[in-house]
Amino acid sequence: MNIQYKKGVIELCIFSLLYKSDRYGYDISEYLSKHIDISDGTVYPILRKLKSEGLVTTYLCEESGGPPRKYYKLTKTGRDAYLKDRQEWLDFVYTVHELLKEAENE
Amino acid sequence: MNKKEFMDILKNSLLESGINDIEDILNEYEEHFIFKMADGFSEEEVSLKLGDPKELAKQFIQDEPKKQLKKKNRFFTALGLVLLDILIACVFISLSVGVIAIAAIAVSSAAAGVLLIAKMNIASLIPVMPYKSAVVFAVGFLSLAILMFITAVYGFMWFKQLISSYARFHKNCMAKASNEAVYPAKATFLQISGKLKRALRGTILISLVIFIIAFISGYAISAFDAKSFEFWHVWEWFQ
Repeated sequence: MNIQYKKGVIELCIFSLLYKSDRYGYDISEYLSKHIDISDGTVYPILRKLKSEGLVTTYLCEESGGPPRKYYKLTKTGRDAYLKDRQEWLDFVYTVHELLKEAENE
Repeated sequence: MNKKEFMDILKNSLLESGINDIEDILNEYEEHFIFKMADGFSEEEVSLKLGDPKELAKQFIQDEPKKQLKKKNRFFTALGLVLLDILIACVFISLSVGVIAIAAIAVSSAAAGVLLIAKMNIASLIPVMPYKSAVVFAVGFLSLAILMFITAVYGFMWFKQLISSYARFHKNCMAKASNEAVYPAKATFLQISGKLKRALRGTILISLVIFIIAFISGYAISAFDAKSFEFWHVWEWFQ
């Protein structure tokens, strides 16, 4: 799959994960690379981009017996952006699905 | 590649790209190594799964705003586009003149055909000839009119497509220069359905054939009637 194309989808997946709960970078990377065929490092540039756009914020959390973890949290703007993007994606997928189904029937 | 090699390449690539807050980024990958190695992976395995550090560094580039460059880009792009617009406008004007000329031929051929058949001779424009020849020539003119009309419509539609395609190109150039999202390019060729295309093509072909046959036979009939290959002299057309 095209890397730019993938990046947009991964962005949406990250949004979706963070919408449910705050997560640290490694956690997100692990979760996504288990389900989607991407290299582990791809998530970090996207997280940084989201942060620079003000869609997520970070905070550090001390863990027992390990380094402090940097947690990512959706901002208000981020939550709004996710809900909008989510709907757009669902509409898009629905349209594509209908198109493909039509093509099959011909 | 072990952890140190990976981190060094990443750091150097990030430095080369002039990215701010490199420490922040490096910490994130450092952490990744620690977590992953705690899960029992070797340094080599972790760096392999992370991906090419040079490629990763590149992915950070896009996020850095480059305001200085952006302004310059916009200026030069706008300047270039204005020059290109002038050139393209000239091409478009000549194309539209061509389409108008073809349309004019269509209209005048249709008029000539109708006048010939209706035996109407407004302002003595139509030279003397037997009605037989007139009808054959009229058929020729009418098919020429259809031919030219379809060509003009074709030309007009294609022209419209070209303009909208160029407008899209223009818009995208500016969007690119200001780092905004671009739209997909539009086709420069005509977007009509296969069925319509075949119908138009068939009509053009048929009218072309009729046109040629009508004019040749019109000439033959007239030459036979006037008993001269240059029948227009016999009928005194140009006097």
